[in-house]
Amino acid sequence: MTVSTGRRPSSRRNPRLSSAGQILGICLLCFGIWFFLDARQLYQSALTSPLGVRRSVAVAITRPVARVEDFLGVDRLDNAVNRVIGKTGSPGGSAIAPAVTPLTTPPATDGDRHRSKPSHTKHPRPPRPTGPVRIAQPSRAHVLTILDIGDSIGEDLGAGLSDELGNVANVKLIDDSVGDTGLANLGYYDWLAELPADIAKYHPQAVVVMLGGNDGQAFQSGTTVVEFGTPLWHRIYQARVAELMAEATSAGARVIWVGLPVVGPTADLSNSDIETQNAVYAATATTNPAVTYVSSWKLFENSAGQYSTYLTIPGQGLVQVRDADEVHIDPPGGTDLIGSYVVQQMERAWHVRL
Amino acid sequence: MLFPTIDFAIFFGVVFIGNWLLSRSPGKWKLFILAASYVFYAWYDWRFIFLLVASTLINAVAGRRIFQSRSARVRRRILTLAIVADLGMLGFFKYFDFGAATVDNLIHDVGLQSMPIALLNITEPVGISFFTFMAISYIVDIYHRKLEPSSFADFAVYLSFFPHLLSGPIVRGSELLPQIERSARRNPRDIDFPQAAVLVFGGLFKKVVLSSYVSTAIVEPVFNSPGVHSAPEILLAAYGYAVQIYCDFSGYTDIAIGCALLLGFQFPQNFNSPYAARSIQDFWRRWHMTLSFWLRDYLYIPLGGNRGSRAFTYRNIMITMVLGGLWHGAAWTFVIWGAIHGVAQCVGHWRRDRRLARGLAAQSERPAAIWLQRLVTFHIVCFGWIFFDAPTLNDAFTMVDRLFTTWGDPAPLVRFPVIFVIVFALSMQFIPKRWIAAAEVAFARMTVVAKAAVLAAVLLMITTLGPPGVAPFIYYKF
Repeated sequence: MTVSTGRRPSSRRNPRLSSAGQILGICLLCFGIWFFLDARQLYQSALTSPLGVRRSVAVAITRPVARVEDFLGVDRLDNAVNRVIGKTGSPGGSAIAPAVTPLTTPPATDGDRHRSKPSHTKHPRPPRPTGPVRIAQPSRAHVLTILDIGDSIGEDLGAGLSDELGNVANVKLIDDSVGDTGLANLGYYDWLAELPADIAKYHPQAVVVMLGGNDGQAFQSGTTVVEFGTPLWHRIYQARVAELMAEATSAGARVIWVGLPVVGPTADLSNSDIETQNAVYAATATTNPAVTYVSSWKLFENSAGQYSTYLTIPGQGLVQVRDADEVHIDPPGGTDLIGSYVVQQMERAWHVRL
Repeated sequence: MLFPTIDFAIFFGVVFIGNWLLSRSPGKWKLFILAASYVFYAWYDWRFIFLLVASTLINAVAGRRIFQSRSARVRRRILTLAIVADLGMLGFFKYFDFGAATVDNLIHDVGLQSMPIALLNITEPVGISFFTFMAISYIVDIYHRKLEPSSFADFAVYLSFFPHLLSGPIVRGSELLPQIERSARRNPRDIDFPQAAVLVFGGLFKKVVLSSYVSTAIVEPVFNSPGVHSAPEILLAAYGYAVQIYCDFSGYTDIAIGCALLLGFQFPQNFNSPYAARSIQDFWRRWHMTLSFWLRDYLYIPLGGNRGSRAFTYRNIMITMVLGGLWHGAAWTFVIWGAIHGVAQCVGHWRRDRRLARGLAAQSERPAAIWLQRLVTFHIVCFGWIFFDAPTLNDAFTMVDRLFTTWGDPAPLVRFPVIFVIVFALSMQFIPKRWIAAAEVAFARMTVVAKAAVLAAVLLMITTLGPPGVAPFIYYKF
């Protein structure tokens, strides 16, 4: 324990006791060694942070060290451990991979024909679907596989769907949402590459998407920052949304795209940004006949048309439906609410009974 | 600002340097540490600074007035007013919406037209329970003449000192205020770095690696959708939550105690191998010790404690445990959790009294009996955790129901790595303290470079095995 007597150090000093200067030196050296050995992961972490001075400084500091680490192969042990423990979810590969999708193609007036070349161009782009894809009534012969993807709000929806569909015969729900992801920072997690892999793995007949909570941010294009909400941002973002929809529908799946709900006044997200994004999802869905856009905005408004953490649910009374952060959907009240609502919309859109 | 972040590392580095550079100038040091603590708190939401300031002002003034007054009636009146103000703030921020929703539901349940109750959608200030309890202990101790009021600056530092501010430990005035008053006597050459390093890095490992893994691998999937999981999964999730909450909360307090030690302050121990407890009474002497001792001294004993009939003692235990449950959150699940612990303690008292009356020891000391006592206690605690973590009472009852009825169902979440981590984390409870002391001595004897290399290796292991990003500590919301 600390001895706080203020006495003069004797000649035979207790070896447990150190001076503040010594401790500072040890800690700085410790962080230096760790920083060098873990630079790749730190660099990746810096890349996932929102654009701004803080991110720029973090990237500027970690990037050169990560390059050296890559060159020396110091991260091999780290990679091997990650492989052994099956750690995924964060981007792998070289530390000097670009932070976000490099927008090498000049901005164009037609987002569909001139859309950016994302980092997943190794995956051949499937053709766009030509018409609506039918979904058969689930039966023993036709088990309906539904894939739920998205960010942490998508995870909330996944919990609601799981409660709704968990015990439904001949329906298989796969919840593959990943927190902190979206379509803005594909360098961190590339849904445009992950979704085809999921489709190849699970062969879903339907895909439910709910994301965008992390997308109210700027993109980086080379050395230029494409600010959120600008016309260029809209074009690029809409192209990515359309591409994600096409990834699913071209594989024969129907898509339910769930818009983001209203958020509270102290939330980290702004309602106007969310409305901007929801408008993109809704507009893009109209261009693909196999996609149905479902708004969750009104679902989470109270009778006064405002955000509320608690809502009166018929038959249940007042129920907490949103988390304390006023963004996420609270289980079970909120997740049940959105789960049952989305299942209703599925039945309506696909003419099936679930 | 979460402890396991780069932000906090930089913040603490700056505070560490300032703390020791100013250690010989008490006035400047207090101003510096107060500013640092307020910055730390404002990192979450700057508006709640006003709440902390209000609590500091109210209790500092009340403490002084209670001490100065010679009239017992006036002293009691000031104490009551201060406690009402403290609990009023706590109640408003923590329980208003819960109360309004409960009333609304009751009206709905009896078939009456719902009356419009204004829900305020209050965001609960982090750490409010902890600094409120510390403030109450301060004025009550002054009232009982166990403590003299300190200067305003000392009290402000005591209440807001950042290592304990958000999730404790709940440090009594008698423990921390003398250290603050004598802060100039701290010697920057006498820091027990091995102990602090073990606490900080051990705490990081428990929180970032063990708690996070168990949470995502078994606890969250099962507790979020209990209706679709089988009995083996529910059982493992209950064990998993026992590990998760222990690693999360004790990890936090270890880091807090370690940080305080690096700044030259000693905090009380908050956990002592709780899952090695041999009874529920023993569990509460080992789990969140500063809260259970606070409840004992400021609630159970003032209620009468065990100074009465057996029924009177049981009543006091139940009141204390149920209110302790409610302290954790405004939900019926916490009330039931507290009641489970209350009933288990009453049964424990009853058994002990019966054994003593028959001339036996309070508990059997045979090795097999000791392990059986531990096993039973652990399972009562795990049963309670189901109610503690379940989102609603219905979910909790669903889990309990399925725990006994779905043993034949498939259990894909029961996997070897999950079982291994749970067993590993539980076995940590039984590591002899002398092993840890020996490790600290071995670390102390290393050279500066070797110490740095060892700590870097531990840090690398933590960041490699841990998930990207850090979840908030569970006890922040309490």
